[in-house]
Amino acid sequence: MATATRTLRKPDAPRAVGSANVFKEMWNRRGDYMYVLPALIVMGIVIFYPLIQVIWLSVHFTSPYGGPQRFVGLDNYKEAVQDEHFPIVIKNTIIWTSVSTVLALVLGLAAAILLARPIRFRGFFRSVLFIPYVIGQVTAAFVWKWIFHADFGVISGLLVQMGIIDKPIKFIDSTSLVLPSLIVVNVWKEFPFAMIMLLAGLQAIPEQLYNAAKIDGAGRWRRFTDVTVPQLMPVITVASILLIIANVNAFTIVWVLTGGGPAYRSQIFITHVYSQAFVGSPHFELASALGVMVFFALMIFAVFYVRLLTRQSRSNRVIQDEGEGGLMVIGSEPGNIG
Amino acid sequence: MAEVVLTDVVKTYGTVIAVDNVSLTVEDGEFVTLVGPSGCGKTTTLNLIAGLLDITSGTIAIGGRVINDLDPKDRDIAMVFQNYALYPHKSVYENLAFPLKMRGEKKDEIERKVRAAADSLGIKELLDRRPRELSGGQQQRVALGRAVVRNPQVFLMDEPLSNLDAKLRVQTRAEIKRLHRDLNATVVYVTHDQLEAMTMSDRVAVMGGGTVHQYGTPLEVFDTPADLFVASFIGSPAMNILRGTLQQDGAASVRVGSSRWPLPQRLSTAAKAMNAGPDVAYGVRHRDLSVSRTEMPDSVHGIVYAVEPTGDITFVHARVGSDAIVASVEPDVDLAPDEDVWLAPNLDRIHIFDGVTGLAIRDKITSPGQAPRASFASEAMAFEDLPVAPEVPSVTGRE
Amino acid sequence: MAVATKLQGTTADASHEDLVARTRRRRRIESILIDKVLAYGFLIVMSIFALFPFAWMFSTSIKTPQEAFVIPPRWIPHHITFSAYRVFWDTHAANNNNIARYFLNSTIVSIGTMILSVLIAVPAAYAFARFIFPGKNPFFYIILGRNMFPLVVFLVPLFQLMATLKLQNNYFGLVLAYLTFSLPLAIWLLKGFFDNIPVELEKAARIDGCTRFGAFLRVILPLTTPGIVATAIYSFIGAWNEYIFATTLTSDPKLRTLPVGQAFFLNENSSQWAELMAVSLVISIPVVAFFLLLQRYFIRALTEGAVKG
Ligand SMILES: Nc1ncnc2c1ncn2[C@@H]1O[C@H](COP(=O)(O)OP(=O)(O)OP(=O)(O)O)[C@@H](O)[C@H]1O
Ligand SMILES: [Mg+2]
Repeated sequence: MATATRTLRKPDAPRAVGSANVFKEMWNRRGDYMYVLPALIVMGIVIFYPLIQVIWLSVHFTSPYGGPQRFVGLDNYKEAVQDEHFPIVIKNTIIWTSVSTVLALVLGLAAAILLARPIRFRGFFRSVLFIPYVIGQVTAAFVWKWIFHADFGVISGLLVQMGIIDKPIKFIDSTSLVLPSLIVVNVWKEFPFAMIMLLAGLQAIPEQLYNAAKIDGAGRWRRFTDVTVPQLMPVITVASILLIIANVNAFTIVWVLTGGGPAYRSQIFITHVYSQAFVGSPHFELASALGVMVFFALMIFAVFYVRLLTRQSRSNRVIQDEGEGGLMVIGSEPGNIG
Repeated sequence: MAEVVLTDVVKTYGTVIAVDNVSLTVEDGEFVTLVGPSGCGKTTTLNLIAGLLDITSGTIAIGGRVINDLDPKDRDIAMVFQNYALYPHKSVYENLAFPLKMRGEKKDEIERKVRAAADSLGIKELLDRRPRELSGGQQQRVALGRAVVRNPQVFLMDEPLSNLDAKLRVQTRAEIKRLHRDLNATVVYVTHDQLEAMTMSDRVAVMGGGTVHQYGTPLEVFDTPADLFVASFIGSPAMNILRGTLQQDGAASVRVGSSRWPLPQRLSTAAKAMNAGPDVAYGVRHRDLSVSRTEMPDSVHGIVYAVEPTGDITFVHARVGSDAIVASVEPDVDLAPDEDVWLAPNLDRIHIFDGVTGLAIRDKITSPGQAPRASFASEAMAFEDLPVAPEVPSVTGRE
Repeated sequence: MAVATKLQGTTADASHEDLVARTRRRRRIESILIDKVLAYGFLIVMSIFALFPFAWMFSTSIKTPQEAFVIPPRWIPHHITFSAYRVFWDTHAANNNNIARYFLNSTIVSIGTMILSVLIAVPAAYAFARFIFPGKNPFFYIILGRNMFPLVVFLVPLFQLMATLKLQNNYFGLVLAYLTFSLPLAIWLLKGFFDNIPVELEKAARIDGCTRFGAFLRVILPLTTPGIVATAIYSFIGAWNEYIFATTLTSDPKLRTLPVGQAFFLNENSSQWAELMAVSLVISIPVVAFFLLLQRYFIRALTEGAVKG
């Protein structure tokens, strides 16, 4: 990584420029700003402004019926948290996020390990397994909705045919099965992402380390625990952060498949935020407060993880500089990138 | 007893033949170097011995046992890799301890051995560090330590010095040689640096295109190269090789362009006996060419192209016809570009090779290697006589 | 070689022979069990998991509406018909759900997002990778932090903003909204690619007589082509698949993008599964084709930043 990133990673590193000189420095470097100016303007409009607006909304009272807004401090936050559905939403979100993340990582790692070796049809398997990741969230949601159909669903149909069950399972229409079913869809959609990242990580492990371990007498399992896992740990960490952020911010799959139902059993944080804002009487202020909350939660979590990550990888090889960038980016809706 | 015996070993990657029918015996306690240009199959051969690759055909035996089907861990070998392959997440101590731990040794035993190895390699103070926190030279030592600590029958080393700077390389070269003596171990060493090969080894296997072209002591491969490949690979600067035709009429010689390079009768006879020629390659090393400003018997005219003093000796690049020739003279000899010179090869130390097969043409009785090697004195004479001497000093031992 | 022959054949050493036999046996078992059965078994099961929804999608799309509701479901329909695909040209077949129009809308919006993202992100990413200027870090952190902020929350202010700017029901408005997620991603991806280009190359170019901008244009940009292609693809696909923004910011049915149209399709024709699956399949074709053709770039972009050290 270029030195630029290193400076980036230490914003508080001693710099010659005192605060009085900042403007002079800025003027001297005005050429550099030309490169970022278009981005600056656009981001100002579509990121800065909405961000400030959201924060502003979250601390003001807004009547759904119009009328003047007034500052209410953290009241909106309090109200959002005291919502009767808040506990189940949090519980669902935690289950959804943790189970999805772990399953995607486990499946992704298994596939990556098999695909990291020169086996036949490797390119074919890699392409096939990656496909769910690129198709649209809405498309994915619809096809699974049809697969999970309470009467004509194909999985139930097959199971009935095989005599394993005698009437169709109500996957997404059942309060107990809805969340697991949605998690299956989510894992189906995002395990390829974990797979590709881990595959790249595996391929970056120098062959010689395995050779050395073989000569030192390490068997398959030992090589896995003593070479693969420690070498891969930084990539696993980054992949898991990205997945966690994506899962916390997930919306489309759940919204299209169940709309959060039945009986709030699949309502997760972001669908809840959306419902607050756009379903029934609009509560933008509550939605905003919830948005700010999830933002801070993710922030704290990410900082914590970056700490862990940088400490870990100082002596290991693979990633570190990118950790920071990597972690936040491919976040929010995985649908954003495919 | 840990001789390593390769018999007709072949390794193919798909259609690429990386190692082609290599047979090689490394005696117990011997230091053997595989040397050759990049891509000639050295690493592959070493990995086959290590068991990191499967042999396509042939057998490899260590200590009298065929180990084709054994895992690396059961072969009782240790290996030092080019990039050291230290476990980045383990401390130096853990790196050294790992092979012992894998062998199920007891904790205090491991501790004792690791400390002993660290001691002997001078890396005691580094035991708590991670590989990342070490310099290249220190990492190299740890890699050596990880090999030594187990006291294996055979050491395999794949270009272990190539990542070190020149000075450290010379120093470590000596250390490895010393280590070899102290441990009395069998070593198979891979390098593409012929100087390393010559200085360290008991025997050298010169590899090219997946085969062993010659296997012998450093002096053997230097003095009696088996073929053109070995002749041009061993020695720096490389041996002068001139392609020409064998002239059997009158005094034997090799005609290269318009010049006639003198040839001893014994080689001419040998060529006839071997049915070689008339296309041959004529080889002579820079040291075996006397350079003179005046014409000498059996000499060839050339024009100085460039002069390179190295302090030790001075290389003279000369043009003979369309060929470029390197000779060497004493540093105090003062030659200038475009000067006329005469080059007289030492007839006892020239080589000819069949122009088609590339094999050396040799008379069985006195090949140059068996003939007394031109002593330093006589070589020095060759330089000394340059400014004046009209005569090539006659050297003993031929015809 | 005399030594070799003598040693090989004759040294009878029971424990050695035993070890060889055991190793051979273990390897045979491992090579069959782990390398073949387990590896291919798992990969095949995973592939079925990954692909069966598409198979089912296709199977349903070539059924008659009646056969889509047969119990038990049939993978191979008795009546194969492509009539469901009529929705693409027959505007009456699907309650005025003009899918062809949606296709056009999606294409325009996706290409617009792609072009704008790349044009704006390339110089910005380059500056982040190379320059040090006051304000750089906070700015970059905001770009990254955006991804911790749920997009849904941006809907409200963006909705109001588009209303103010009179950009509702407007292609440009949608493209602008898409830059919310597309631009940060593009900047970050491209920065990863720029970071991996040695600074020496630019120095060389500048010594050879390029201005700083000239070096960027002539030396760095051509080397970053794979990164730019990857970024362009991600921007395109991100926009192509986007749903929430599109559904919130466009109320005019004529401006619906494919995912929005698709969603309405279900609501308006809740029992027309054959047609919905036909639409889903056709929407997926461009992205899957894109991916299969340009796989290399996709995968590089995903891994460039995160794995290389
Ligand atoms: N995995 C492989 N697949 C195909 N060909 C290979 C593979 N590994 C090596 N080769 C080929 O086998 C030949 C020998 O390779 P090897 O690595 O043994 O060379 P080497 O003598 O060690 O060279 P170097 O000095 O560059 O390390 C080369 O031509 C190489 O291209
Ligand atoms: Mg090699």
